[in-house]
Amino acid sequence: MSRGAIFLMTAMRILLQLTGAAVLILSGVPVFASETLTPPGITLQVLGKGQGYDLGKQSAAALPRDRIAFADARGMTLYTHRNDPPGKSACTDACAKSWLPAVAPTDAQTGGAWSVVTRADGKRQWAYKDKPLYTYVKDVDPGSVGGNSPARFGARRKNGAGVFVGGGIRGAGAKGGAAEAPLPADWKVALAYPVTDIRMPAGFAVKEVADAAAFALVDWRGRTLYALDEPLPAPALDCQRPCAWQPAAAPQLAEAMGDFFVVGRDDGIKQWAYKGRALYTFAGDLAPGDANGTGAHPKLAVAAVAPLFMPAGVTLRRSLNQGYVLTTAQGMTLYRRDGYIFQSGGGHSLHRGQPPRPAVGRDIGTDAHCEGQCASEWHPLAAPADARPQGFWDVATRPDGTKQWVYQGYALWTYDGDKKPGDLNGNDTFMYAFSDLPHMHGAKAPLDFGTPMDGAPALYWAIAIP
Amino acid sequence: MSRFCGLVCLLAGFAAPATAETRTFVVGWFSQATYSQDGDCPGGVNPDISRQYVRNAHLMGFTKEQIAAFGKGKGLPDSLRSLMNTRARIDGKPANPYSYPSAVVDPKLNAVSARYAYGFDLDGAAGPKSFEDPETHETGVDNELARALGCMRSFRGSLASRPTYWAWAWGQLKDSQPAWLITLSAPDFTKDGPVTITFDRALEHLRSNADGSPRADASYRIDPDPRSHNVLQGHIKGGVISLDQPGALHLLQNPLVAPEFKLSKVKMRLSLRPDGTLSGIIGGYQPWADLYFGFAAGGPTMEVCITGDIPGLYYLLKKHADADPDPTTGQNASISAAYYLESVPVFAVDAKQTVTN
Repeated sequence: MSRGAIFLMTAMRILLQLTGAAVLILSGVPVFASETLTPPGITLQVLGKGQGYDLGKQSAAALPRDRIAFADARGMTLYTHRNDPPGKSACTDACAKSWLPAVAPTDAQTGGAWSVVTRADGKRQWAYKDKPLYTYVKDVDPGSVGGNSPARFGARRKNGAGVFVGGGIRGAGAKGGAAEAPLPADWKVALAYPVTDIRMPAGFAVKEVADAAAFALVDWRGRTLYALDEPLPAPALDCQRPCAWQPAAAPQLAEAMGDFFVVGRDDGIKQWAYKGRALYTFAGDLAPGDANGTGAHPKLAVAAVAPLFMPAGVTLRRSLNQGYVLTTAQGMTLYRRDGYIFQSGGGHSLHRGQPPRPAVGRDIGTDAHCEGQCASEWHPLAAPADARPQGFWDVATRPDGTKQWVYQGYALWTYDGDKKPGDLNGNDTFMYAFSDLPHMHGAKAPLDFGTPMDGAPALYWAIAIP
Repeated sequence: MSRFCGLVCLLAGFAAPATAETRTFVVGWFSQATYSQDGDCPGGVNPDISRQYVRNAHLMGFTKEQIAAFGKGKGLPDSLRSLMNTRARIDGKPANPYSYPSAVVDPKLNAVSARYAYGFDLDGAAGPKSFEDPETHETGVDNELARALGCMRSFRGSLASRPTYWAWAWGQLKDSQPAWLITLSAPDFTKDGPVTITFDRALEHLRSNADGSPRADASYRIDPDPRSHNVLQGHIKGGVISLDQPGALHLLQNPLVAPEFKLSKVKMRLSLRPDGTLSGIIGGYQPWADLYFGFAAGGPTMEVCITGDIPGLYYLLKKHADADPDPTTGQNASISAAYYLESVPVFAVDAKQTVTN
């Protein structure tokens, strides 16, 4: 048997030992950062097509998440101005009419890269790494850049300013989108991702590891790296052989760079360490983005350089066959209400189903469009009255005034049909929409959630994946 | 491992269980049970979509001259196709015909009128519309789905010559849709007697051989989701399994065909073959809205390439539905149907025992 196969089997054995209850609770111990990437009131928005307006049959399965911006509580992209000196805003008068200061509340949580600057008029303005932050008056939708709404990538629909943009098939929409306006000179999007300010040896990168709710270090294969929670010189890893944890091997001639160091091991292997913590990969991670080693060793955690916000009472748990899903603290699966798109090739059934499309989630909002038994079985995930948008999380106000947590555009729900932690019994429950159905009587524009679906639409319940 | 547990249990010295042998099969082919014959569509087999679209334009009130202006030659003129993509009319305005099939003029597509169709007498009442099963020669067979769809080109075929739609659907789904498992438990499969038939969904999709055929002896984990767990009681007689009482069947499927496969008043005849496989017919009443959505969600692409006129299918299904009447309108919500499946022996394990992603 190959060494790799032995490692894999060992990793799986560890998983089996740890999953007597069929789930793993994500410990998510941040090794390198004790604070989440965003303070309350600052959110994260995927830019461009990652918002999910472009629902072509092929593109739906691969929504790019190559640029994630810091945004204000409404989801509007934040910018920095090149002419601003550190800790001060030079954008006043006419400039400030186009570029609106991102106002920080009096109780703004500063710390780390986040601070507050006081403007000449006394207003408090958020700053990131000492650069004051602004929104752009021409941005009208989350994910916009320089006034270019990502809605132009999708079906003909109204953007946040009430202007029709985009193309699509349903109805008599125009084809194609408007040309992109350039971002005004001297302005930059305040990007949270990609992370570019960490000096790294060749082969390393920081990627979004959603299963660990973090931007984390990965190796040259894209495999998630784990850091040993012991200062250097670290003791030998307590790991039954054959060990599923592999040292992140450094070339013999490798040299330190930035916060990366090379550690000599007793077995002759040179191992990379970051900020004084030895780095490992886990044999149970089979693809980029996996974080299956979470919780598999008490001293190893995903090498998260930027942990992402998770509300109290929400966690990530490994499910039986769908990877990590969002759950309540009690382990009950969380769901989103989503709009179905036709998937040639049966793609809907593939592992984890369809990726979330924040724009569609926002269109659906907190109205699950279900009545009777459906309405009685599905319950909004309540947010505290004083909850604020943060990171990928938003807070929606329901018609009765209560608050509901929203993740990446989708309001979250629990299902009465789930009887115990790990149940996914509500996943893929459909509600069709065509004119002959009782719930469609009188409806003239049913469930047309800004998607270019050319066939009959449907809503369905889907597991909330990170 | 459930397959051939009897021998293992015996060798292990266990007390003789009430069920002496269990065999599990994975469904390796699934389709509507079709028996198309020459002459079974007295009004003719419905035309291909390009000719049907011209007919639809006539029904919408377009003149010959206007239709001629759409263009001629092979293929569908874009202008005609655009018209058909919004051929529903609501308050006189164009609308999506797949979302609003009742707002489309009924093209009155032809349906089957024939003696034979696979299936079962589901209602216990032989009527003038009933069929005779070509295999068992049971009369009073209820299979209005065969009548409704049987004159559509892509739904015509036989058990051996697979209909285009179902072949397409299976080809699309078999490598992605979680597989369906059938587990039989009986004291002795070589003798007549009772049998428990369990339908489940696996966590894995169908495993195939290099030639695309279903792989025997593969291993599957049973999805614990109760929505796809069905236990039915029946008996074996002469190697053929049937139910003691009509039951219900509910399996999660895929919205490409139907999100859920639901049959009520189920009857079946499944044959244990000498080569170890299991195949046969399952019949029952099925909500026709589930089927319509499978057609309609694909919109014009599906209509042009696979199914044919989708609002026309809506009217056929609605017209021939024969069970579960709405208490107010009287419109039947379900249609009698018969499906054919082939399955090969596999191993199955309770999914709770393992967690691998």
